[in-house]
Amino acid sequence: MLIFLPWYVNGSNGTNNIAELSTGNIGDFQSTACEFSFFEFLTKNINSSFSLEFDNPSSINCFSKINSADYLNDQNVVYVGTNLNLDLIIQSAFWLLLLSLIPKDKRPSKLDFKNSSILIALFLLFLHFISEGSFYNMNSKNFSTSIESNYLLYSLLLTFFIVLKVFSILVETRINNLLYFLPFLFIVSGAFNSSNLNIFYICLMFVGISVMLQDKVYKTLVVINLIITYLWISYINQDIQYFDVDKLKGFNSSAYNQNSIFYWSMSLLFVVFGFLYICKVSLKNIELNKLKINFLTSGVLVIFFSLISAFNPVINFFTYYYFGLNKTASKTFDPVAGNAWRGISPSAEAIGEFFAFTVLFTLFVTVYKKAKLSILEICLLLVNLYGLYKSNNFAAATSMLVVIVLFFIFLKIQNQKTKYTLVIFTILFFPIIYFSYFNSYDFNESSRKLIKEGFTISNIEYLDTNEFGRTPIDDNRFYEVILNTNSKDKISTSLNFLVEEYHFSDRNGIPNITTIISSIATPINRSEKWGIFFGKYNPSFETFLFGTGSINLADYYFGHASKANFGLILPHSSILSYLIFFGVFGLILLLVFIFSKFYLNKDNIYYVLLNIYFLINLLKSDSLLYLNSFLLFLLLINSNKIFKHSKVQ
Amino acid sequence: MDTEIYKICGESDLLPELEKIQSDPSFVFEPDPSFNPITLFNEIGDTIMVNSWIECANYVNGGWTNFLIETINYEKYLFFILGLGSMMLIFPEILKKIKEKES
Repeated sequence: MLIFLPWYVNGSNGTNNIAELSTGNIGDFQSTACEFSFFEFLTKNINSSFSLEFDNPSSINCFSKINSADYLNDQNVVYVGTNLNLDLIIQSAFWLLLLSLIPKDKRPSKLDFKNSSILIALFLLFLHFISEGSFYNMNSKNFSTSIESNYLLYSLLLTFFIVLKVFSILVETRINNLLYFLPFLFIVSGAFNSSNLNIFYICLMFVGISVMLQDKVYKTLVVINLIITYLWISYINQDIQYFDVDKLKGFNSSAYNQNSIFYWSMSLLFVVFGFLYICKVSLKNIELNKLKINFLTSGVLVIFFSLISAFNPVINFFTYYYFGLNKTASKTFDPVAGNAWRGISPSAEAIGEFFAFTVLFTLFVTVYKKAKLSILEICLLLVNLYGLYKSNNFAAATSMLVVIVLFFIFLKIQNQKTKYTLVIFTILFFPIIYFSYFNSYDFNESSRKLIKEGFTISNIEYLDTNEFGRTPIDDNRFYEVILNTNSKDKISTSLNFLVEEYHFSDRNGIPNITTIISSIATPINRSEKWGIFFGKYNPSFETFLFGTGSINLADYYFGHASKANFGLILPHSSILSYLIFFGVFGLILLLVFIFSKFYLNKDNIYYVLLNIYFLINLLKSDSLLYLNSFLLFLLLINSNKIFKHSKVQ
Repeated sequence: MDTEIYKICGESDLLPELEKIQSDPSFVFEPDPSFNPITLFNEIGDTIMVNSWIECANYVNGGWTNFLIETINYEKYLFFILGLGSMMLIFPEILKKIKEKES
């Protein structure tokens, strides 16, 4: 009912007949906007050729109705009305229904201060709505940040009150079972259609607030976070009203102002608290086989829904809406830019990592439990491998293979000398093969490619050319560009730094930091993306140290004018993204925390290898910018509790 | 002349060329001290006070009226429905707490 009723009830009551869509009668659909329901349209046009687009700013009256049609790119495009408030209600209801299907546990974990937590969460959401007004103005005709008689804003808050109230009733008896369903977040992402919010993020925020109110350590961390947030707010040079979050919807700020920084920094901290609490209460009794099956099933369902979404525009419409996808699923079976197919995932890289992780996890759990894979599990595993193949994530596949080989070396080889010889050989084997057969750049060219890519997107058209028409960049005289009087404010501070490091290095070779980064970037196909990053990344000394705020890319994006200020161009490295958010200080703290966990669990080969796999991939992918991958990473950091009896000497 | 103009702005002997006034961006309406000011509304709820018969005629000719066009405020309805839903969730809790206190 929740899937079909919203698109059926708001029809024309049969007073008029909708036409069959063809290129010749597009005008009829334009003149009868907001008259026929989506269901009525489908009954007449189920065999027609069209693609569907959302008309997000529709009024409540025009929700689920056909709001216009166009002929674009040799295709009929039909616009279906959706509404900010109704989207929140319908999508939340559907997802809460799914949550209610999670089996109850016999040992419920009680959450305290539920009503206070809801109120704090609502206050944060209120700040979110008023801070990201430009985003919401684009998604609702009636949205206003005024608080006087603003029924829309009050309705949005009331919707979240009801959602959190229902969630608080559902969660206590199910909290021990929630982790089993983490893999399904790669299918049901939970991002709302017309708002920059995600239901799972909000629910975890609620759990986190509740936990914080009971725990002194968490309260202290909140105070520290408030101080850091104050610093981030003090670094704001100018407010940025709108940043197109696109596929990061629900897990990235669309504005850069004090309220948005406050909301995202506080809410992210609460989400982490909430998820860590869930890990704490459920990991000690978790059944690994059950989790393994859910990872495998989830991978298969990702492929299944990706295939049917590519097959039919109506299914594509429904998967986007009801799974809360960050981006509409691929509409064809063709790979993106000729090399990767993302399906229902917003990122081919992220879903590739998920498939490879599923294969690894299945293998590890099977060995850990000293079990054998059943025929069904083998079939599911093969489908996941097919997904990995389609996503064309070479790095994920290679790192998965390396980790599997290392795993068996640690497990099977007893002789220490042989063991470590084989480990070194395995670690070096793939890079040597790659450099020998696939890398087309010599070392000198690799070491400066990053700088050249950074200059490519900088606004430096004023550079003089010599008699052969070559600029100083073409002749590798990069420092000349920096010295040019026009270059002030045109070259980002980070690129400036890299050029200086490169120029003043004795031999322009190792240990020059520019050469190191560039030489790593080139063979893994990241010199262009990281070059763009350094061309844009323009921190002051303070923002380099402490960042610009949790999950906020707006200042990085618009703070420095370049040729790459249009379209969502991500850093393509979670480490670089976190450098923007938390600065070098935050990044070092995070790495110290991760490596201290490694050190404490150094004998737990399952833990170390799974995390190494994930960290290698984070170096070259944006996965941590997606909520599902972020939560999977948090789970992995805590997975020492899962494999706690697995000490391999 | 449109009867709607006479209905809203009152009777007048003037026969202004309203199209000409509308197309002239530099036209300035002179306030008429003998004219009783009227408030006009457009379809999105904007209001304007007119101080002369010609000004009034001009705006009425452009679709303005002397009453507020009530569009259905669905957000308001939804707000009350959601408010009711919230109450239904809160009340059992309040009743439970009252009972606990009593016992």
